Amino acid sequence: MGEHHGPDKGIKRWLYTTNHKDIGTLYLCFSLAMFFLGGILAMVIRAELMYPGLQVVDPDFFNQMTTCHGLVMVFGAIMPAFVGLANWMIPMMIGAPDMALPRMNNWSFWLLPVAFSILTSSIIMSTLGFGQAPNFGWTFYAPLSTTYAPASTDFFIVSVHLMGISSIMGAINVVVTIFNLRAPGMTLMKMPLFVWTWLITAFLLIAVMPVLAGAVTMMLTDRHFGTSFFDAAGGGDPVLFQHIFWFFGHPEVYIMILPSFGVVSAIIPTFSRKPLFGYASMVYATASIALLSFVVWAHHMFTTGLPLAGALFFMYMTMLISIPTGVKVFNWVATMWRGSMTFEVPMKFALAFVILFTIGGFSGLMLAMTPIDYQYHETYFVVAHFHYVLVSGAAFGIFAGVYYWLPKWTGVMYNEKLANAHFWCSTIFVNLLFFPMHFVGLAGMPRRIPDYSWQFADFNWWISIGGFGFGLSQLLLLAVVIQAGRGKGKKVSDEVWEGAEKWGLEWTVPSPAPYHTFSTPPVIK
Amino acid sequence: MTQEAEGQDVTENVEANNNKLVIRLVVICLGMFGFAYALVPLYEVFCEVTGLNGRMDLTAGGRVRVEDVAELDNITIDTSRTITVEFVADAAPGLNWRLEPETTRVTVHPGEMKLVNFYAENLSGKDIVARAVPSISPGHGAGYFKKTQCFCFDEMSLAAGQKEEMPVVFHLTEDFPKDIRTVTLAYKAFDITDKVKVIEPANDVSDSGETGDTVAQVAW
Repeated sequence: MGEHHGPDKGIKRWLYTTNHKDIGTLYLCFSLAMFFLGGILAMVIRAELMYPGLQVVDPDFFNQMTTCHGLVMVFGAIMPAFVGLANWMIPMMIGAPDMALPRMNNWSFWLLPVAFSILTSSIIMSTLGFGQAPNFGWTFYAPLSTTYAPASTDFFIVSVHLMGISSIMGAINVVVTIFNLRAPGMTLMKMPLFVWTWLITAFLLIAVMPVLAGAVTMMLTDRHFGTSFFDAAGGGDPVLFQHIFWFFGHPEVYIMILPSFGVVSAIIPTFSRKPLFGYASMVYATASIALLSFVVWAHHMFTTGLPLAGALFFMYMTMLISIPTGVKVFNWVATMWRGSMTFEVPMKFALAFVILFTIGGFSGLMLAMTPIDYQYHETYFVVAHFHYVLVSGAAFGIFAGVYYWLPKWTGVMYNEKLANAHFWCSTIFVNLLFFPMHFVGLAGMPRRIPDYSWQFADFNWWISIGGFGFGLSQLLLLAVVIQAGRGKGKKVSDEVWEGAEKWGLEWTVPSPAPYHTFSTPPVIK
Repeated sequence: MTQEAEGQDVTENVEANNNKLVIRLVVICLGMFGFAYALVPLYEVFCEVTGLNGRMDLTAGGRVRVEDVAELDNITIDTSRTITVEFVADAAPGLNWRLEPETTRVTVHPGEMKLVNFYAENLSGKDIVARAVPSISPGHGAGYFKKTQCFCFDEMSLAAGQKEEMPVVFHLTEDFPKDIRTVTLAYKAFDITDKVKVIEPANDVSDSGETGDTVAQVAW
């Protein structure tokens, strides 16, 4: 037993903290802030697209909005939210006193505000009329991001480097914690699925974030140091950029969904009052998805003209991913089968996740077919697909996790009225927002364009209403989190949810979770 | 890197294990950073083997190898097949040149040698060095499109306002894919003046006679 002292007071607590719970809170608050920043950018996009023609912003500013919305949401909102959940929950789930590398943990968080200040400063400068923010799409294809890119691209490159370093350090910390700090008796196959999915996610991060760093470094040297990696004039090839980018990019989309799988796999058993169906198959399915994610990247590039054998290979590999994913969906449904289900807000979000993520999975299967992809490519169908998996998938998984563990973090039950309102508004508006995009996409409306033909006008009006509604609904989440954070609400018991104690170690510690937990390892039955 | 976590007895054993694992993971990271760069040559090899992107042999642009030149005399012409070959050529943005073929299409039999002229004119007011990058479409025909002479083998240097006629001599090999009836050869010319290091041989006593000629050496 070490000495028990409380945290420092004031700002120093947050700047110097090495406590996994404090750092988890920092990550989650940061990601909430970025979620709203990315949301504001999305509102600009939907305001422009509400009516055909150009009325709110000029096309170049529109491009900056789509680019920064994607970057902020992917790297600023979703990924840090998962790292926040990992910091809070992984040590508590495996009976460890803290993360294995606490000071690195502090550093990996504090790099993020720096990275995003740099990126955000380019948006602010653009708004004030000094130059342009990055405007080449979040996928930053060369030569748009090299030869034809604005000066702020260098801000973007530095910022991506910093977020990459932050993610890699976070991932290393997770792997070391899980491998070395498990309580005695906590074997790998006894770990909660959230820990498993994060372990696999961490390996994906370690494998692909350096590739992203390589890609932006090549961009940097192409822009300023006379290399020609992506410049045909110097013997390079812009298509090479897409290969490198998607070699990172496809595992990246699994980085953004696997931890949500883990969250949902924790929630569904609790509220079905049954153990998770097919635990081992869940672990193997997650690992197979991660392995397959390395051999499917060119399905983003069918229209660049792959050789027939290549197109077939990437098509079949992509379709193969639906098998482990199907195993997961089947297991979640089987867990609920004949369970005594109740529908608290975390369970509601988890159910919405299962249904809406599956819709996104099906549209993904459609996109996987090479000949059909020629029609869907670069249309709103693609936008619909990846928002179903990332908003009603990844983000709903995060919402579910936050509602599930918030009482444990704060010691009080969240405001159930507001939380239910948040759920229903989010679920209705997210479908109004993204479902019609399938139709306009199939009918040929291209993505990333600030204007469209008249026949898409009615759908786009409704999509924009859905967008504004979804955006405003998130203020309810903010209200719930602030209320609970201030300790306003019904006090909760240690196990919080009826019978939760048997589903995980985190429910055996007091509520709110004390500053230090498991200073002596728990006994695992 | 590892520090003692607060309120806990970290045994030296755990710390040593942590360090060992961290080092391994960092090595994987560095390896993957290197892998991103390794993708560059891997991609080139892959493109050459498959003809992906319609890229021809990258260093020579489909040039017939010296050791194969003798075999060109023994080539048989397959008159049973007639292939349309189309030509496209233009200058990339930033290069103020006119670049065009004398004709946009010819018909050839596999094995038959053909000469087509291209014209380049420097419309700008300064001397420019440019390089034309060839591309074949459909891509799987690229490996069977052979050239014995082409302006794309070297960089093109045109003085301000200079005009030049540039021949391309090519043939399609006898085993040219049966499913291709029309094949397009496209050139895109890029300004490489800044990327070419100009070495002035002037003042060099050992250099006999010729002065003023500049030797262009490609920097990449």
